[in-house]
Parts: sequence; C-alpha cells; structure tokens
Amino acid sequence: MKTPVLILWWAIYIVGALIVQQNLPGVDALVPGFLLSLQERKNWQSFWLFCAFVLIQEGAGSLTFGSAVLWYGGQICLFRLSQRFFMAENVIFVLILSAGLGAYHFFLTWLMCAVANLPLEYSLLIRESVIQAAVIPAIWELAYFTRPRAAFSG
Amino acid sequence: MTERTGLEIVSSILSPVVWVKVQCIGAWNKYVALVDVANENNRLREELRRAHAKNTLSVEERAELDRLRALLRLEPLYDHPAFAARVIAKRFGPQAALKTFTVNKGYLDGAIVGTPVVTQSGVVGRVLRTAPHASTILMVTDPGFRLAVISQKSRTPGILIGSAGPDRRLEVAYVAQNADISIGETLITAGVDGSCPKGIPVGVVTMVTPGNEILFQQVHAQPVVNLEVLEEVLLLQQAGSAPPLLERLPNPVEQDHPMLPNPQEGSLQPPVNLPGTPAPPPVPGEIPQAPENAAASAATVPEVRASRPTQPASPPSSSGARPSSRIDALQPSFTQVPPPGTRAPAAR
Repeated sequence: MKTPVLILWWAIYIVGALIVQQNLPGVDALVPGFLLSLQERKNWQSFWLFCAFVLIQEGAGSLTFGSAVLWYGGQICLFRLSQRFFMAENVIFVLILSAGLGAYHFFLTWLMCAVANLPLEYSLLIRESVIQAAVIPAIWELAYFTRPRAAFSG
Repeated sequence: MTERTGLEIVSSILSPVVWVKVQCIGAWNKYVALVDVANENNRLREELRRAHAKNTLSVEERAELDRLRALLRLEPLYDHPAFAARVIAKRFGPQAALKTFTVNKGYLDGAIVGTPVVTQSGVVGRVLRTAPHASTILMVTDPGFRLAVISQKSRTPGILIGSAGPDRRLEVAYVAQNADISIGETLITAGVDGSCPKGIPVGVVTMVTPGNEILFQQVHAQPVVNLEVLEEVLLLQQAGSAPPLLERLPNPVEQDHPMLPNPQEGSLQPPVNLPGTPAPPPVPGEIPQAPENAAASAATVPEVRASRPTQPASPPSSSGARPSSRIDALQPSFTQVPPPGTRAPAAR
C-alpha cells in the first residue's frame, strides 16, 4: 500500500514541477524532489529519480548531452559535502545548499557553453541562477510537508 | 535517442496541461470577459470592409501574376505546405542555454531539423531538435541563428544573425558599403538556402552605420514577430525537390482542351501560344518569329526529349481537391505529385 502511494506522489510531483518549469524559463523545479530523496537516504529511489530527471532535462534542454548528468551529479556532491557540517533535514541546510546550487547552475552553464563555443547572455544567466536558488527552498518546503509520512520511516 | 525520449516525455506531460489552459482561457474570454466586445466588433467589421475592398483590387493583379509566372515558368514564392503547432514551453529547464521554445509537433507530423518556423507576421526560427511528437525551435534572436536575407526595397543581401544582448536586436552581416539600405526597410528571406522560401518578412532595419575600418556596413534590425507572446506557429514543410524544368506545367487552357499536346514537357523552348493565351513579350535584341504549332515545336527538340525521362502528367483539376477558386485553378503547382501509373500525353 505504501509503494503505490509514493509512486503516485512522485508522479504528481513531477507533473507539478514540469508546470513550474514551464512558467519559469531556465529553472529546474525537479531538483528539490531529488534533494528530498537524498535526505530520505533511499538509494534506489534516488537512482531512479536521477535517471528520470536526467532524461527529462537532457531532452528538453538545448545543450550537449552530459550537462544534466553533471547538474544532478553536482547536487549529490554538494549534498554529501554539506551533510558533514549540517543536519540534512534542517531548513538552514536547504537554504545554504540552494545558494550553492544557484552558483553551480551559473558555473555549469558557463562551462558547457564555453566548451560548446556558444555565446552566453550573462545577465539572463545571473537572473536565472538567483531564481533557481530562491525556488529550491520554496518547492522543497512544499514537497516536504506534502510528502507521505511513510516515506520518511523507510 | 535519450534526448528524443526526454523531449517526448515533456511533451506528453505538458501538452494536456497547455490544452486545459487554452480551454480555460478560451471559455473565460468567450463567456465571461465580454467587456468592449461590441466596440471591438464594430472595429473589426470596419477593418473587414476595408480588407474586402483591398482584396477586390488585388484579385485581378494576382491573376495577372499567376499568368505571368506560368508564362515565365517562375516558381511561386509560397509553395511550401505548412502545418500549425502549439507552443508548449519556452527555454524549458536548466539546460536551455539557447533561445529556444518547444512545440507539440514532431517528426511524425512532418517536422525535420532545419524546418522553418513562421507566424502570420514573419519568421520565428528553425527546428533544432525533434522527437516523435515534439520539437525544439531555435529562435531568430539566438546568437547561433543564421539566415540569408535581402532588404525588400533596395534588394540588399546580407546574413541575419541573432544577438546575445538582452534586447531583441538582430545583426545583418556582410552588407556592402555601397548598399542603399535604409532604416525602416523590411528584411525578407532570400530563399537561397533551399529550406526557407523567399519573401517572408524577418525583421525591420533599425540602425545603419557605415563601417569605418571594415568592408561592410553595420546594420541592426528588430524581428517582426513578437517572440515574447508566441502561442501558435506554422512549420513550413519542404517543397518538392525536382527541378521545375523537368516538371510539367499545368496550362489553364489545356484544361479546356485535354487533347492538346504539352509543348513544355522536356523542352527548354519558350511555351507555344495556345488559343486564348497572351503572346509573350519579345526579348530585346531578338528577331520575333512567327508562332509555330505545338507539334512543330515539340519536333524541334527530339534529342532533349530523348535524353530526359518522361515525366508523369499531373492529375486533372477535376480529380484534385485543391482548386477552390479561379485563382487556385490558375496557380501552377510544381510540386504536385502525380498518381502512380499516369504518364504525360505524347506529342503529336
């Protein structure tokens, strides 16, 4: 009974996140869900989400293949690194991680465009990075409180 | 493969969302938000009356243009079939570094990479990536976009390039120093790349600066389409690639005389005058010759005919669904695919 509810929750979350992405160009709304999965310490769930989110973002984006892998891979590294210093379920932890992910979004897009020799609009990228950093805690908060309690019990 | 799958997933999720949104907005606009509808109705009636008057004047010019095109064997400018697509997302996701948007038509619907995308106002962009039922479109304002254009009045050629700036500026490169291009002039597609038909508006010139140390003028333009409020677009499919000279021109007179031979088939000679058609203008410096009959004309080029494969005849207008008016019936179709097994009538 627990698994179908969780699957349904993830399906609703993905659809909702894609609608948010539709209205916020250049922003990833799937990231807070992945962060939530990392906090739950469910490796298989995180693995499947990683594959699904990479597939979606690579397909919808316009950069060369690999940037979404680096994006979610970088999130895992930042999460593991931050986990050493803060409690992973703390809101402050999420805020700091969001700021780090906003900066990482800027760096990664700049890097991939430089590698592919694509011209970049820096003002737009800075704005999107700030929005990205602001959106993550908001969506994470909403997802955290709507998530079925059974998910945290493992 | 991965990219196509991801694009298809996004399209399958967002298309119903966009459909619901459009239905809700449509219902609101149709049944609730009816303030000023009467004024708008009167204004639109007045516009329609003016458009009717303008159309009446242009019908005869259009018919004349079609006749002259048939006479000179010129391809019509807009010979590309188009199909509509709905915009479902703009710059979707964190990997959307390019100025792109996503539409709900893919390669199963006829969209291929490079397909030009337009609206009723002008060019929007080009298909960058396709999935079965979705495509990513690169906008004209992206710095990686290139399109051959000419100015509408002075016919100055150039290459249109998007700009990386925050404004919706376009640059026109390789405009010669002595070119007579001016501010306010409309830039249209040159049609030299083979994919985008000629004559579609792209932008309006906003700045012309003579290049001091370079060989070309610096020309800036603005796109004619407001790319911020795109909802529906048209994707232009590729027209037939057969050379026009090898295809048979339907002659309106021949439709009334189906037994007449087709003098243009496989022939590089000027078309022979048939009863009821105007005589072609004499070429300067050439001695006008007496008109010959169709059989004699066909007999003058037997080696040309022998060296080319026999082209199938286009189906008669009665079997096709296209001609709905006199103008449609007159319009030559170079790309019409004949039914299998039909052959051109032999010249007598």
